[in-house]
Amino acid sequence: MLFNSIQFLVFFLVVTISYFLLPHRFRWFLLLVASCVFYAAFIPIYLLILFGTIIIDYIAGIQIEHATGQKRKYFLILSLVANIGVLAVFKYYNFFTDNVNLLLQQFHITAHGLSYLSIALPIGLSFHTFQAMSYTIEVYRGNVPAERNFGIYALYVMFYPQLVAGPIERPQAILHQFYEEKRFDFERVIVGLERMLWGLFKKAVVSDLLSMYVNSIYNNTHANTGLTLLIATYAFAFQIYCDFSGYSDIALGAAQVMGFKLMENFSLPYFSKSITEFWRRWHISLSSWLRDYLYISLGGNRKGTLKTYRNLMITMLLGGLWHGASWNFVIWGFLNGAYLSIEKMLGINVKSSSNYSWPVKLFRVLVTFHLICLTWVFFRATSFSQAFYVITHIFNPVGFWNLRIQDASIFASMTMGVGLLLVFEYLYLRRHQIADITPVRGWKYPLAFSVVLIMLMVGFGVSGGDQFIYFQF
Amino acid sequence: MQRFFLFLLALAALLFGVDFILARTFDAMYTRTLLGQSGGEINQYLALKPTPEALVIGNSRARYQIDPDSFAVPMYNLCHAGMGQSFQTGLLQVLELEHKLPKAVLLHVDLGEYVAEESLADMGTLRYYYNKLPFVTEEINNISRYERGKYFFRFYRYNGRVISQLKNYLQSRRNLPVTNGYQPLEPFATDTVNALLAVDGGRDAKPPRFQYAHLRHLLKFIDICKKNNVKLLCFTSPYYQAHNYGPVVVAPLDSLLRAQGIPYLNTNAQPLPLLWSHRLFWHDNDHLNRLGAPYLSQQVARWSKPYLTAIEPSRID
Repeated sequence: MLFNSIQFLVFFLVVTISYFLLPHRFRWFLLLVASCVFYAAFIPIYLLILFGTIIIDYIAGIQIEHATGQKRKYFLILSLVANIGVLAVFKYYNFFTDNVNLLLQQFHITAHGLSYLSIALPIGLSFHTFQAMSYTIEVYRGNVPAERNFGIYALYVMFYPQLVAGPIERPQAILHQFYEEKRFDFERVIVGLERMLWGLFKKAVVSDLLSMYVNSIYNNTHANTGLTLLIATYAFAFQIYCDFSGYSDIALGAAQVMGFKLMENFSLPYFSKSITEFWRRWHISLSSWLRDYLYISLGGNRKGTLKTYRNLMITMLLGGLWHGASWNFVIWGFLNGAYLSIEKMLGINVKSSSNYSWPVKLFRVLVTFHLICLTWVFFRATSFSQAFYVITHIFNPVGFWNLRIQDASIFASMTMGVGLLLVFEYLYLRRHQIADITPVRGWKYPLAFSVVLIMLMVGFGVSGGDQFIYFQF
Repeated sequence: MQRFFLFLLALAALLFGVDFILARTFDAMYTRTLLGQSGGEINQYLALKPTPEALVIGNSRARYQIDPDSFAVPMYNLCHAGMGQSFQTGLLQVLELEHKLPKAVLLHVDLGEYVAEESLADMGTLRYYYNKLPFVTEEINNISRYERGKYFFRFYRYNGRVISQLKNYLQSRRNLPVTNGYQPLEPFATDTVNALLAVDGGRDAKPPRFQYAHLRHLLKFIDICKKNNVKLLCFTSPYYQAHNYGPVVVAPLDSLLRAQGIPYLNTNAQPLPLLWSHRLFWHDNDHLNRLGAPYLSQQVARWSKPYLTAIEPSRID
C-alpha cells in the first residue's frame, strides 16, 4: 500500500478515525492490526518472517535483562544473528552467489556454480531489521528496560507510518509513546495533515515528474551526452531527495495526527556546506544508527587518526551495502567514506562554517552538492559500466551541449516543481517548522497552504506514480 | 473536534471554489486552443468550415503517411500519434456530439494493436469530455477503480498538461496556417540507421496471439458510422519488414470487416515494389518519410476513389 495512493488515503482515514473513537486501552491493538494490514498489502506471507524476528527479539530482550555476565551477550548475539541472518538470506544471498559464481568461472572451476534463490525481497526489510536490532542493543546497554507487552513490542517494530522506509526509531524514543493516552488536538492534527500534504507534493509532483525525465535518460544513457547526463544526474539528486524525504514527511505527519512524534529524517541536506554536515542532514535516522551502533562500537575517533579513517570507511561501506546488494552501492559508500575521511584530514569543521560570508557558504554548498551528485551516479546507474559511461561523458566536451529534453511540457513542469520546492524549503522551512509558517490559530495560512498544495497535485501530480525508491531497501 | 470539522468544511468549500474557477478558466482556454495532440487538433478540425467530406483517422502510421490532398474529395487528416482504437472510437463520438461527422471515414487499422495489451490510458487524451460523453467517461473509469475519485476535481481533466495547455492556448492566439492535418516526417541520415536496426533487431520473436477483446472498440466505431450513415473504409499501412503478427491479425480482421460490408485495403498484401526497394523512403520500419508517404497516399487514394465517388459524385475531379 503506497502512501501516494487513494487506497492509503482510505486506510489512513479509517484507522485514524477509529483510533480516536476507541478507548485508550484498545488503541495499540488497533494500530497493530492496521500495521499488519498495511504490510500484508504488499506480500502477505512476509508477515510471518517479520513476526518470526519479532518473537526472537522480544524473547531475547527479556532474557538479556534477566541474565547476567556472558549470558547477556549470548542472547544479544542470538538476536543479532537472527536479524542479520534474515537480511543475509533475502538481501545478500544472491549477491554473494553472483560473486562466487563469477570467481568460479574466472578460475574455470565450474561453469554452473551455486544456484540462486528466486525470492522477492520483503518490503522495507533493512529498515525494520535495523529498528529491531537497536532494541536489543539498547536493552543490552541498559538504556531501556525490556518490553513485557508483546503487542507493544510488535507495534514498535511494525508501526505502519515508519514500517517500510523509516525513520529507524530508537526504543527509548517511541516505546513509551504507545502507553501515553493521546487526545485529539486540533492544532497538532492540522500540522500533521499539512506535513502529509507537503510530503505528497514532494513525491507526486516533484519526484515522480523528475523520475520520468531521469528514467528516459538513464534507461538510454548511450544515446546521451554531457549536459543531458549532467541535468539528469541533478534531476536524480532532487528525485531521490523528494522521494525519500516526501515519504518521511508523510510518515511523520501521519504519526503526528495520532499524537506520535517520530524522529526527523531530513533537514535540508542540499544546503549542507560539507559532506560531514550532509550526513547530519540526510537520512538522519540511518546515519545516527550507523554512528551509534557501528562507528562508535568500532572505536570511533578515539583510537588514533588512521583508525578513525578506517572506521569511517567501514561504516560508510556497510552503509552502502545496507542500501542494496550491488557493487554500485559499495562504491557509493566508499566515495562517501573517502569524502568524510578527507574532510577529517583537512580539518573541515561543521560548526565553524556558520562564520563564513555568504559567497563562501554558497561556494561550499555548491561544491558539496556536486560531490554528492557524483555519488548519486553510482546509486542510480544499474551497473558500474553505466556509471562509468555517465561520469566520463559528463566531463567529455565532445557534443556536451546537445541537450535532450524529451517532453518539453514534462521538463517545464519538473523545473517548476523543483523551483517551488527550493522556494518553499529555503524561504520558509529553513528556519521554521510548517507549524511556524502556517499558524493554525489564524486558519487562513493552513487553509491557503493546503489548497495550494492540493491544487498543485491535481494539476501536476503524476497519477499512479512510481513506488518509493527506498521501499526496495 | 468541532473546530476540526469546521476547518474541513472551509477547506472543502475553498477547494470547490478554486477547482471551479480553474476548471472554467482552462475549459475556456481549451475550446480556443487549436494546437497540440491533447485536443487542439480536434478543435482545429471542429472549427473548419465547411466540414471536409472525408476524414482520415488513425495513429502515427496514418498521420505521417496519408496526405489528404491526394484524395478525390476534400479530406482532412485527424490522426493522433500513439493513439489506439479506443481513442479513435472516442474521437468519433466527439465528432458525433459536435455534429461534425464527415460523410466518409478512412480508418487506419494498426495490426500491432490487436496482439498487444489494451491501452485504456489513450482515452485520457479525451479527458475534456469526461462527464460529457458517456463512452469516454466509462472508458476512463475502467482505467482504474480510483479514476472516479480523481475526477471529483474538474480541474483534474488538465492533470499533467497544465503547462502545455497554456502554451498551446497562447500559440493558438497567433494566426495559424490552415493545414490539412498531414504531418510528413522529414528524412534524416539517421533514419536509415533506424530502419536497419529494426530489420536486424530480430523483433517479435514470440508467436503472437490475436486479442479478440480488442475488437470491441472497432465494432463500436463501425456501429457509430452505420448509425450516422457515414461511409467507412479501412486500410493498413505497410511495414518495411513484415512483422510476424501480420498473418495472425489480418485473417480475422479481414473476415470481420468483410462480414460488416466494410472495404479493407491491406497494403502489405499489395505492396508497392518501389517502397520496398529503397530504404531512403523510410523513417523507420513502420513509418514512411516525406519521400515515401506520397506513394502510399496515392495508392490508398486510387483504391478509395470508387467508394468515395459513390458518396459525393459532384465533387470528383
